[in-house]
Amino acid sequence: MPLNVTIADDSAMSRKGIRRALPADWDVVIHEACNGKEALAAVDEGHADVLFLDLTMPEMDGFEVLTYLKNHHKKIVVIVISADIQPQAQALVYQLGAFRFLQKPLQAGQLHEVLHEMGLL
Amino acid sequence: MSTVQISDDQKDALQEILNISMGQAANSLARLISCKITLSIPQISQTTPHEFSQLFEQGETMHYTRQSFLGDLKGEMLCLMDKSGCDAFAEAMDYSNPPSATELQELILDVSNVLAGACLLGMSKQLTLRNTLNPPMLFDPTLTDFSNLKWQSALLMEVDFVVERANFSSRVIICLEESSISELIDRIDKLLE
Amino acid sequence: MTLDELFPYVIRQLPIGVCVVNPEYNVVTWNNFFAERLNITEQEVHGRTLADLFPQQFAFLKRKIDSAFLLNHSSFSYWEQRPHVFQFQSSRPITGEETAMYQNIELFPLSAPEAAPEFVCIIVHDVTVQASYYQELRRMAGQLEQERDAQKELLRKLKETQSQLLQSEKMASIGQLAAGVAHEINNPIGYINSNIQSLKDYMQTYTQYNQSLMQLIDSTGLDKLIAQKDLLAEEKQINYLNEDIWDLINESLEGAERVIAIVRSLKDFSHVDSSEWCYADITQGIENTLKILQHEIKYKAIVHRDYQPELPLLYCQPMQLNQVFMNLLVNAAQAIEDKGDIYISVQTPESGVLEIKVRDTGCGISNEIQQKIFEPFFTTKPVGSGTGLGLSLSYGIIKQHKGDIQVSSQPEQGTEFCIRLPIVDEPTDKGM
Ligand SMILES: Nc1ncnc2c1ncn2[C@@H]1O[C@H](COP(=O)(O)OP(=O)(O)OP(=O)(O)O)[C@@H](O)[C@H]1O
Ligand SMILES: [Mg+2]
Repeated sequence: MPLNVTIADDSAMSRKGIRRALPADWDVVIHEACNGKEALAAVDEGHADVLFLDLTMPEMDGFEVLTYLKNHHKKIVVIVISADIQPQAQALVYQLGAFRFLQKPLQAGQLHEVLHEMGLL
Repeated sequence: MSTVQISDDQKDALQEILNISMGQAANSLARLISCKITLSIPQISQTTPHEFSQLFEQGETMHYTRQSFLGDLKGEMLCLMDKSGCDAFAEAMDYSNPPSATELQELILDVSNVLAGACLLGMSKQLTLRNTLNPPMLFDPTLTDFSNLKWQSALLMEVDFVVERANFSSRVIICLEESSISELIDRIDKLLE
Repeated sequence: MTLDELFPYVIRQLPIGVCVVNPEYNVVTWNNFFAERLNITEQEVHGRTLADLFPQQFAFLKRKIDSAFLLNHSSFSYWEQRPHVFQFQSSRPITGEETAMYQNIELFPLSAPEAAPEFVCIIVHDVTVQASYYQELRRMAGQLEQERDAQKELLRKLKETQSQLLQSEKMASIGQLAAGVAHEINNPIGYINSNIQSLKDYMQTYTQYNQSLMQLIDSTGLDKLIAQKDLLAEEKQINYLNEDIWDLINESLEGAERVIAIVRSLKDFSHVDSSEWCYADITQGIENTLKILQHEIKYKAIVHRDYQPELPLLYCQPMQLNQVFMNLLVNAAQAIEDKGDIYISVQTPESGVLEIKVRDTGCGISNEIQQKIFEPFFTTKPVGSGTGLGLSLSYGIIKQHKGDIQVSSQPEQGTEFCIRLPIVDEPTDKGM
């Protein structure tokens, strides 16, 4: 069965960018979310075995999504892809249980490496 | 209002590009002062001289700097800093406490240079544009006659930086000349292809 | 000279300072601008550290260099905030007034494309000419501002003097009028008073004489005569006259005395030298003022007095203080629209201080106006009825007494003016 992947980012360009950067031969169903709330809805519907998560988003930001997931013990692979690259933001993201932190603009090579490392490919 | 229209897709892209450059700017500053910085979502708008003059309505409560840039894009960076937060911020940057008037000026120029530099250079890099930034200058809007500006329309890109620990907030505005807007949009379209 | 040689040559000769350093703050090279001023050649300086070359400015340079390396873009320093980072002599050692060079500095990172910076280049611009020009401008602007402030102050003083003149003219003419009236009334009221007094004495004799006459008629036993006398007395209402005469005379005497008292206060009030310093009884001054204002106050307000017993005499200008009381009391009466009360208290709340309070139950003063009432020419009264000088002059007089006058007021409730005067002794050294 293919994996469910959700891309949560408020920018359409960013979502498109992440979609493009995913390996072409990866057998997944891709869902999209425009803010934190939609991301959590996707999680509830089982659409997010893997969640690509932006940090600065309207309605509910990435930190809040991570906090919610942590508090509700959701076992989801979260890969944060963010423009906010401050060391403090990265540290917080890891504390909140994210698997990886990737910088924007996203580099496809880096993403593939991460997916390999985590045995998702 | 303007000859150049920006579509929603272009705006979204520009916002994201700014987001990334602002993120880099914040990162630069955060490393200098070892404080976490909170960023707003960038605002993009086209403006008339009249609307532009309203940016300065907070008058005396703010410090202002301006910094012009040349190259593929032409315009000015403005940096607005809340006066009340500046002292606390100076402390975070190892100035004497409270900072003297010239120390404060130096700090304001330094901070705006870091923020504006990182914002502009980050944006230029993503769009493969070449730009050079001139030194920042202190700016006193009360001495400026905004009723006499020679342009009709400009593009404003604004982001707020907040250093919560020092209660310091600052707004960086990239102001783009009308003639540079089409160049910017061209580059964005290339990126969106 | 080949093209390759040309460029380093140009850099060496440039009229701006160029110095390249590595991340360890060692100088890699610099141009003649530095070399000539510090007497250290390009070859000699190679590898020396900034800490050693510029020990005093090292901390600052280090911070700027770190920032350029870390952020990978330029950082700046300006003469306005740091005029002389490098201790270079002025570029105008002979003709210029300044001794040290003013500098603008830019530090920019040098790196291969897409790589981390390897060096930072320090560029020094000599801006001595601009800086001293700018400073001269600023100095002139400052001077202009000072002159403008002095003019403003002069204008303020002029206005103040003018208002004082006007007010003292007003007071002087009231004084003259009062003195004139007092003088004119004094004589007639004097003889009216003594004449009525004599009249009273005569009437006493006259009634005694009349009574004896009546008794004499009664003692004759002539009924007809007696009846005629009684009829006559009844016809002329002699009994009533006998009673009323005394009321009339006494009332007239009282009236005359009152007039005399008023004349005396008028004379006191318009004392020739109104700025004379002497010991005076403040309550006496208030009472005199009240007498003069009687007709202004009587129909509007009841005056309540609260004078602390055995108040000390105050060394002051009594006539000037009377002016103050007059202004306060007139204002109080004017503030009362229909009927109200005026409370006057004189106390020594602490030793060495005399406190005079005048409170009314009039219209009160709104907060916005309260700060303005002591300004000369400020008035809310209709044109022609108030000059707006009363309080400003009172303020001046109280200040002359080294005292303090304050207002507190609730709109619609009333107003209280509180004067605090230091109780001081007559200065012994008059020459001071
Ligand atoms: N007791 C008071 N109650 C209410 N308002 C007062 C009182 N005393 C002063 N004021 C206000 O302060 C103003 C200034 O008073 P001031 O005595 O200086 O001038 P004036 O009474 O207007 O004119 P002038 O005293 O020359 O006749 C008045 O116009 C009035 O508005
Ligand atoms: Mg008055």
